[in-house]
Amino acid sequence: MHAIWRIASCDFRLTMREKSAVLWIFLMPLAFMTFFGLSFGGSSGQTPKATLTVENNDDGYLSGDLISLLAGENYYIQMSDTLPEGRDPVRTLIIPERFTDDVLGREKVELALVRDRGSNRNAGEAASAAVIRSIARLISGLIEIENGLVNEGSGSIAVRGDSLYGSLLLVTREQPGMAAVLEERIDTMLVRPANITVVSERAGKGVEIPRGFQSSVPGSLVMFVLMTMLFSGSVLTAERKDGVLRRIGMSPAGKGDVVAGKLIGRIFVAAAQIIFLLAVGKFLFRISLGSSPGGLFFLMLTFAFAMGSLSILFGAFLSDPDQVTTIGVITSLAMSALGGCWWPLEVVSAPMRMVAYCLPTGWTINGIHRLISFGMGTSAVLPHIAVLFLFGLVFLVLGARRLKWDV
Amino acid sequence: MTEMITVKELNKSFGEVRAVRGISFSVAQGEIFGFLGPNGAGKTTTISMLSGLLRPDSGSITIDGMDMASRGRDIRRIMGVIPQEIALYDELSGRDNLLFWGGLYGLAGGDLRDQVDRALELVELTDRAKDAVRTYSGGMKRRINLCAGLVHSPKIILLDEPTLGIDPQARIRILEVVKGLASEGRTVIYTTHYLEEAEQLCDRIAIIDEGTVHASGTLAELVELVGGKVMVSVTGDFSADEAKQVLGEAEFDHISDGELRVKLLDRDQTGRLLGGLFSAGLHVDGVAIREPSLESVFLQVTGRELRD
Repeated sequence: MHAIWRIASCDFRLTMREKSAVLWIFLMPLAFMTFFGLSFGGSSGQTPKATLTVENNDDGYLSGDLISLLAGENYYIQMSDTLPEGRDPVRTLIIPERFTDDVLGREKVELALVRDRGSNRNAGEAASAAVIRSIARLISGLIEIENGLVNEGSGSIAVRGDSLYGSLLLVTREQPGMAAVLEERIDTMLVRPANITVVSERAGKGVEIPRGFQSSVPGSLVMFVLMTMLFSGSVLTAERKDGVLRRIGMSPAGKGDVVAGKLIGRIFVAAAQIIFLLAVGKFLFRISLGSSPGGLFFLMLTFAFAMGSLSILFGAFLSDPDQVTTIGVITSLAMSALGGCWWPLEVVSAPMRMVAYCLPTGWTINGIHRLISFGMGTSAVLPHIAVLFLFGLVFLVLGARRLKWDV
Repeated sequence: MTEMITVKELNKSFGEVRAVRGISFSVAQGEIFGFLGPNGAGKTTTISMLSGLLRPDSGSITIDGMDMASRGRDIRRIMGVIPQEIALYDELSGRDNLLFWGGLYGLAGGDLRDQVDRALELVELTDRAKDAVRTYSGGMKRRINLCAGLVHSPKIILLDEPTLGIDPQARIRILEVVKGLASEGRTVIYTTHYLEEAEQLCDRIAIIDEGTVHASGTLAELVELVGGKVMVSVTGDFSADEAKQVLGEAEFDHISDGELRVKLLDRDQTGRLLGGLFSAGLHVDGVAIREPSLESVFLQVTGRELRD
């Protein structure tokens, strides 16, 4: 036990002394968290505002009302005639000529929503829904005004039998001064709180997609703990090359002591990294750590154990530190990408999700999101911890059996 | 004297290569036992087996009454190994390295610190103890490398070519330290391919080549093997038969076309030997005379020079 502690604390100190290691362990993850967090929507947790370009060919007031309603639908409205030069619209709503007159005259009107090929399909569908909602509010306002005029006994619009005769356009034409009154009534109605609000909620377990820093912090945390662990495999090969490992082998420390000491030293480094990055996530990026931060920490430590064991395996099988670094880079990039560190697993296809669950990174990312994004407790990640522990155990046994003192 | 190390019929092969072939020897307490041989002779393999790093294919090693096969860890506790290479953490200071290596041998707390201070004084590195090892000169690195194997005050010390590639001054300091350790009653096994080191330092020497101990004993005993005679080597344009005809009564160590080695009672007889060759009309290119020494012993028992 004494030898294990000596080896572990020596490895920890050596790692922490290295300036480049500190850069990769603590600073680079921050840069990645920031970059990916901002790229995937920041920390608001709300749907980000998309831009809707409007080409308005109408000279009446109803098109203006429609545009106001759309602006209230969480869209930045960009008028096509003020679009900066060289910038192509992503999605454009085209309001035809005579829109106001045709709507007031109860004529059929066609609005076109044109979207760029490369635009986000989901955002396009959301824009379409927003346009429909705005039109519905506009039409319902007009119907209310029509009813009012019918009840007032306006001659230009009336109900005969089951049919409505006349139109608001006729009212404005036959009764001078009514155009301004109608416009004012419509404006008043549109700013009034909606009479009916429809709330839609998912039945059963929905699939939440973590976004912004809620996605980038766990992704970067897992990726950089993985890199820290895998690159440490080169220490083992370097020590074997320099004869240090051989000298340790000539001491009373056995092979088991060396493997355990090396692994524990690495886990110390990972523990410092995990605590630092989770604290940054919570206090700088304001993400939620869920209801069991202890479970989260333990899950990450188990992941560090699995990857530390993999680094021992690399160190045991490979003879050159550069080989370990090269294979470490390839492995960590592949495992990060496939395991869901770079984008949420919820947005990839089912086969790719299956691939993710063959990897320790996939289990870890899923476990983290269960704890911090989906509101689950530690018991929900016990299978994840067990799987990661098994991964680690297999790597460790293979690595320890293969470990040689000499080159 | 108490026998500290007993090795019997040790064998070790790596695939087809037989690195050690039936080596046997014993070393008494307080003795410096040297292994003299060229690179690849089997010295490091023998040290690796003595330190428990390699398991012999056959044979036995008993150290301080303990069998290596069953009590390897206990043996390693009383043993200090100084490897051929500078096996240290370059980024750590000399002191931190010694604290680490001492800690591996079970030392802790004040005892560890005291032993480290003592070891640093022994190799005169107390002033540089806080500097990183990477800033040390080659000789200083060798000294701290030596220290790392001594910090736990081992009863048995294995030194594997500890003076490799260092300046004469640092070498002298290391040899003094080793002599001092033996005078304290520690048992030392010292491998080297420097003849003069073996001559100066070792109480007994084993000449090892191609995994076999060819001869062993004190320097005087080994010199006696060549009969205390001068060895004269002659090269030239002559055949073995011609040379034999001329020097029929001489004591040949080796004879072949163009080369011969003859043992003479003293160097004064060399003139007569060469005169015989010249008067027979044989052409001589070169002559080398060796006084009885470890070098001539090595040549005689292995059939080749140590620097070959």
